[in-house]
This record gives sequence, C-alpha cells and structure tokens, in this order.
Amino acid sequence: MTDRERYKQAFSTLHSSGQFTLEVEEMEQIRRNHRKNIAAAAAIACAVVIGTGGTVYAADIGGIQQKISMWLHGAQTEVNVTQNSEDGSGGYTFTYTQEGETKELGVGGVSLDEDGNETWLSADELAEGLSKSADIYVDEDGRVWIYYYDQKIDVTDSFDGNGVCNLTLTHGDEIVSLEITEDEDGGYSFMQTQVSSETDASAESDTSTTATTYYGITDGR
Amino acid sequence: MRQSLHELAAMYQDNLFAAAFNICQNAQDAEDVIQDTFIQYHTTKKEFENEQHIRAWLIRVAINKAKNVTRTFWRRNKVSIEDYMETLTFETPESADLFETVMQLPEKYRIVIHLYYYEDYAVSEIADILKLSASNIKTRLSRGRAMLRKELEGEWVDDR
Repeated sequence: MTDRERYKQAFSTLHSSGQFTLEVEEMEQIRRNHRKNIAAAAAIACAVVIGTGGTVYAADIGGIQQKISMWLHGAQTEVNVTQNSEDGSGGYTFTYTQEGETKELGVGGVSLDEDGNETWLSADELAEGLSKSADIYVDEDGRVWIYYYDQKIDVTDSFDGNGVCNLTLTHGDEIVSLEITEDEDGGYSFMQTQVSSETDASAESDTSTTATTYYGITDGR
Repeated sequence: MRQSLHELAAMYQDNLFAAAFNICQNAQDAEDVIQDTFIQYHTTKKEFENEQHIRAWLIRVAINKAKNVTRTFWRRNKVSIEDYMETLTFETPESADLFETVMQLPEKYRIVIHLYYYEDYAVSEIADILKLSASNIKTRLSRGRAMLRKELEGEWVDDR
C-alpha cells in the first residue's frame, strides 16, 4: 500500500453528517443570523465609557491616534480614533462629543472576500461604513428613532404585529431599505440593504460577493 | 459554468468536511464551515471555468472559513481530538495512528499534506488554493513528510 492509499484509508472515516441546508430561504436566514450574532457578540465585548462634558482621557495603550469626520447619531461629528492593536484586530476606540457629553465607541469589523478570507477594516473604512449605516435609538419615553445621515425618523408606530418595521431611506443617490426587528428582550436590531446607488452600482451590500460586517456599535445611550 | 448546490453537496460534502476538520479539528465547526461554504457559493456571482475550478474554489473557501473559525475568540467548547477519534471507525490500527499523527502536525503542514495525499492536488495546485508560492508548498510538504516518517517509522515510507 502506498502512502497515498494509507492516507486516504485513514481519512475516509471522516464523513459530514449532512446536517446543512441548501434551501435558499434558509441559507439567507442563516446568513442574516450570522451577521447579527457577530454584531451581538462583539458588542458585548466592547467597553463603553460615557463622560459628562469636559475631556475624556483615553487609556494610553500606545495605539495610533487620528481624527476622522463622520456621521454619528444624525450629526456630522469629529471623532478621535485610537487603534487598539497594530493590525486592527483589536478594533478601534472612537471618542467624540455630542450635546455636551463625551463618549467612547468601541468599533471593529471584518471584510469577507469571495474566497472567504477575512480582513480587518481600517478606521477610515469603519467610519465610512458607520456613516452610511442607519442608527437606532430609543428615547426616555420609549419612542423608537432611526437616524440616517442628517435624518431623524420616529418609527415607534410603524411596527407590524410581528414586531417588524420595514423602511426605505434615501440620501443623495443612495437608497437603502431597513428591516427593524423588535427583539424578545425589548431591544431592537436591524438589517440594512443597499437598494441602489447611481454612482456606485457595485455597492449592493446584500447581493455583492463581498460582505462587510461592522460590529461593536454601541455607545450606551 | 455553475453547478447546482445539491450536485455539489453530493459530490464534495465529505471532502469539504475533511479539509475543514483538518484545520479546526472539531466536527461541529467543520459542519458549520460546510454550511457557510455553500452559502458563499450561493451568494457569489462568480463564473467558473469547469468542475475542477469549482472544486478548488470550494476547498479554498472551506479552508479559509475553517481558519477564520480557529481565530474566533468565542469558539465553541472543543471536543478533544482523542475523544472525537473514539467515535470514528478506522479500518486498521495503522489508519488510526496515521490519523492521530497527522492531526498532531502543525496546521501549516497538515493542510498541505491533506491536499496532496487526500485531494490528489499537485504542488502548483495547492499553491494556487492556499495562495502561497510553489517553493513554500514544497518545503511544507517535505517537512510534513519528514515528521510523519519520524513519528510513524515503518508505517510511512515516503514513497511520494
């Protein structure tokens, strides 16, 4: 018996259980859940510090710092960026001030190419992604608000009997659809899909072969 | 060309499982990799030249996804390779020895050995799948073989 035959004999004992689905709808659901799970897990891992005015001194961890201007919670915002590790794998800390409060936002994300490779996103890519992403906020009265660039929309009364709200938003030539879901614990999550863009036809995030996952998006409000 | 997912699953699910298991050494993770690989195929708009192109792409994606799993900090609790091996049926004790020895090799040698001896890929094809140079693959193959020869003594004769 040759080495090759020996090897094949040894590894022929490995068999898939076949417990996977090839149904399109189920695969789409798994894909959506996978993205939500990544976001939830990473958000839990994020440390959030909220200051009350004045200056917040970020921990000196020897990271690289830079400033970025981006859309956050409906306002164009100057953000100080601290890189948490040299290769970006530790994510970034965005520090910014809005309405007199200085806040920290832990962010990270990966880009998945068509060969299944993950690459850590840079701070600029994260900021661009977050700027383009809608933002959900529940106020003290329990009203549910969606921020998208400079728009602020009250969607509290737009949920159907299953706790789902579908919304289409536009900004310039960008058109996105949002599916907002009320979770069992009273929180909210949403999926954003780019419907079209006259300037960037390849940016249809949900049908493109390149998927990008942003996570850790929380500011403790 | 494109092939249906059902066709591909029938042809390659065990190959993808073996490749993924080779990297993540956990059956449930390897099953998840198969699912994710087929989702990736369903999602991609890529056009393939032929069946071999599809096969190589699926294996590449499965390997990359398996590597991603091993880097994930919230990885599921692992069943030890020894415990998992007890659930497997090997034709001979030598097969079990070979399996266990391969699984103890460093990952970078393990996957090259697997693609060469199990998937019958040539060095240049492995280089293409792993996006490494052919000389790098040759080196890994040579070192992996040397380790197997040393550990398995007469059970691995290095006949290429």
